[in-house]
Amino acid sequence: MRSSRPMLCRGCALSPWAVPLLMFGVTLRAEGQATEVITRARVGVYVDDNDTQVQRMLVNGRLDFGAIDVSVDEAIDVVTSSSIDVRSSPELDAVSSATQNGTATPTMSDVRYQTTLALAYDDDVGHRAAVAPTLAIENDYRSLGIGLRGSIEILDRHTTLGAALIASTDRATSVIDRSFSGTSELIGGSVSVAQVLSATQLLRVRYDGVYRQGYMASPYRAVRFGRFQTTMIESGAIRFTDTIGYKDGYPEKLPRTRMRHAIDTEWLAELWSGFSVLLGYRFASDDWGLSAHTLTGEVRIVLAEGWVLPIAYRYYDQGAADFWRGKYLMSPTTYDHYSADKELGDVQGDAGSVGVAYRWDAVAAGEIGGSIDLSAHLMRYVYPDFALLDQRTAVHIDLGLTLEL
Amino acid sequence: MSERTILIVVVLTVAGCARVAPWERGTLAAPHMQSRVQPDADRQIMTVRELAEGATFTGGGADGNGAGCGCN
Repeated sequence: MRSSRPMLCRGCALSPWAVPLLMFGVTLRAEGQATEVITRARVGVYVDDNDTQVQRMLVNGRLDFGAIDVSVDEAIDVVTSSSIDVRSSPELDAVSSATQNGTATPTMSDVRYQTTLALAYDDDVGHRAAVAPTLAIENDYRSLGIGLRGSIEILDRHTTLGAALIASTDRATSVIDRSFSGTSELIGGSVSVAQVLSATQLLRVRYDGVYRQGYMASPYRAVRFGRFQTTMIESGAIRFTDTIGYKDGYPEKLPRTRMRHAIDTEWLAELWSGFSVLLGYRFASDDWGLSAHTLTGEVRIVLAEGWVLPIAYRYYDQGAADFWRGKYLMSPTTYDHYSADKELGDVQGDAGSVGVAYRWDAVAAGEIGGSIDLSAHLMRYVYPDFALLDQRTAVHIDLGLTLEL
Repeated sequence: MSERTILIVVVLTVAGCARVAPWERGTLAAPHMQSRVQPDADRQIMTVRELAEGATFTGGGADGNGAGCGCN
């Protein structure tokens, strides 16, 4: 978070990494050292009725040297929010330029930069591997991670076995309390199997597991106790009364370790020429007692040569963490852990999306191949037990362009 | 789901597979038969979901990149 008001599309400056790489790549391509230069650009806008807007930008440059390729990926998020979390923050005056007694709506903004370097190997006969270090920076958060992944095709290329490992070290700070620092470490992995069932059917199964230890709360979020009442003052800030203990609440107290598991299955089939269906189911759980079922259905229609129209629906049903309460009715000392994070409570979500993608190939030397795509997502989340917000509706629109030089 | 049930599902699935010759794989290679029509677009919406859903995450597969989300 930062205290200044957002400028229009701050962070929309071109990536410091991708542009030099693209120029370098064009040079190599011209000299015949790189067989292909691929550049991708993507912009997205997220808006929800909890007064949060996110502008997203992704730029990627990739040099293909045959079996080896090198890429740089820069993602930028510009976040502006007057969400319920911001408006109920006890440190509102410090977080925002607004005041709880004033009439300006409390607002926070931040910019997140994430840079990923990747070195990948693909021998075109079923062996792939990649290593990708990543650095993500916000005003009050820093994460340094690395991902390793590989896959191999066996049984006459009917079965693909995949595995991945990730590790990261993260540090959260606070713009309010400059002495605050919370660190955490993460290690995780996945294993997957993709099986060709027939000339028109595929089945994929994947397991994901992630272990994290250290600080996992938010330094800005506070938990109020008792049968409190809320009122919204003119500025939109939330005032609390009838609390047990401090009316401004207590800092979140979460367990210091978390082990998460998920199993994800997908069945993909072409039912008739140019019309395919994807059905998916995912189950996730963790040792905080939180669990979720996700159902996905998607149809893809080939409109014409190169044109694909995907239409999808997704249902998400989450059960709360064991320690999470909509209201903690007793004194803070009664509880080992407590949180005001609605994402740890019961959540039901519906999402629909529609998109269109067009791909063209370079048919002659010197021509440029590529693709362009546009998608729109409508999401609605319901929080049946959260005291401050009962539902949230969001729209995300995304536009991407890929050029293969 | 017990380990035996998982094993039975895996055996039946693999046993039910047809042999597909390389020249019969045109459909499987088509854009509308990939796991994600646009992987980059999927990564973007995955980030949105990770922030909104307490149980959505990846362990570093096709969608993962190894860095924390900075959700605070």
